[in-house]
Amino acid sequence: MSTISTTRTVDRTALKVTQAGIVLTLLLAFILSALFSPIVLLVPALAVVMIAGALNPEFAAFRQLYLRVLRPAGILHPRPLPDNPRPHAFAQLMGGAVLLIAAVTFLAGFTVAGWVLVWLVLVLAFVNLAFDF
Amino acid sequence: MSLDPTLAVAVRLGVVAGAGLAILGGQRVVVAWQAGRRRRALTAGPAAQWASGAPQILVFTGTLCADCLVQKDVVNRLQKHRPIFDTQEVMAAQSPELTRRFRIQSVPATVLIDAAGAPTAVNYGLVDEATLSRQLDTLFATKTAAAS
Repeated sequence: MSTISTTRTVDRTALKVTQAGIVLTLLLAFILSALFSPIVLLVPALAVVMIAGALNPEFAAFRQLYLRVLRPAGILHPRPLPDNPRPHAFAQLMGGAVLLIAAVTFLAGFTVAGWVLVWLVLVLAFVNLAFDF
Repeated sequence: MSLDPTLAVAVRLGVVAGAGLAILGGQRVVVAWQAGRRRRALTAGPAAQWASGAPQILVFTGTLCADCLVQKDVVNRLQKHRPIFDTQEVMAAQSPELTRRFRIQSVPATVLIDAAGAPTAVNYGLVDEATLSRQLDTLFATKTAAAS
């Protein structure tokens, strides 16, 4: 059976930290914006972080938090598994793009539509986090 | 009309809880459906063409499938560590009968076949070396139990 010359791996823990960060940030934005509306700015901020992180892992904030703080402190441990990193980066890019559209939708005054888009990203990130789907 | 902030937070928390329950419920449905699919694939029964005297792993692949390359690497690495089985790559699009038999709907997928040609495990999606190794252990344990 023919093979590729290198085996690609993805650190599943880094992936889970990123997904958890996305879910928590969006949940916080959704719940707390009822008390303090500028919290909704977390949505475009997260969009920028996700898009930048997808294009260059050096700018992936949650991944860097894991690499520089959580892993060295022994709070989390790496779990490299055979996988292709590109679909994950693409999914993150798409998620960031949808959140940017949500931010524009909020600016235009269509709050419900904006939250629907946010929830789309939130649910997909959660399903990925909880069920590896 | 704007809600009292505390009530608004409560409503949003309710939405979060409802969404969580819906996702968990949906996940149970998906898991049950996949378990049923796997069960039906395993009851396909042995086929004479696979009774080679040695266990086999069929690796269902496709063109433009990056995960299929990763899966083939995993299977080849396992074979190097445990040279006790044969492998066969199956192009899913060119094998409609096999994909129907094992309920393959996406690639990669792997099917473990025992020496008598009967399927013993089906994996839909990328599967790691540890899982395949465990499934091989089960295959050999069943074979030993049947022989004794």
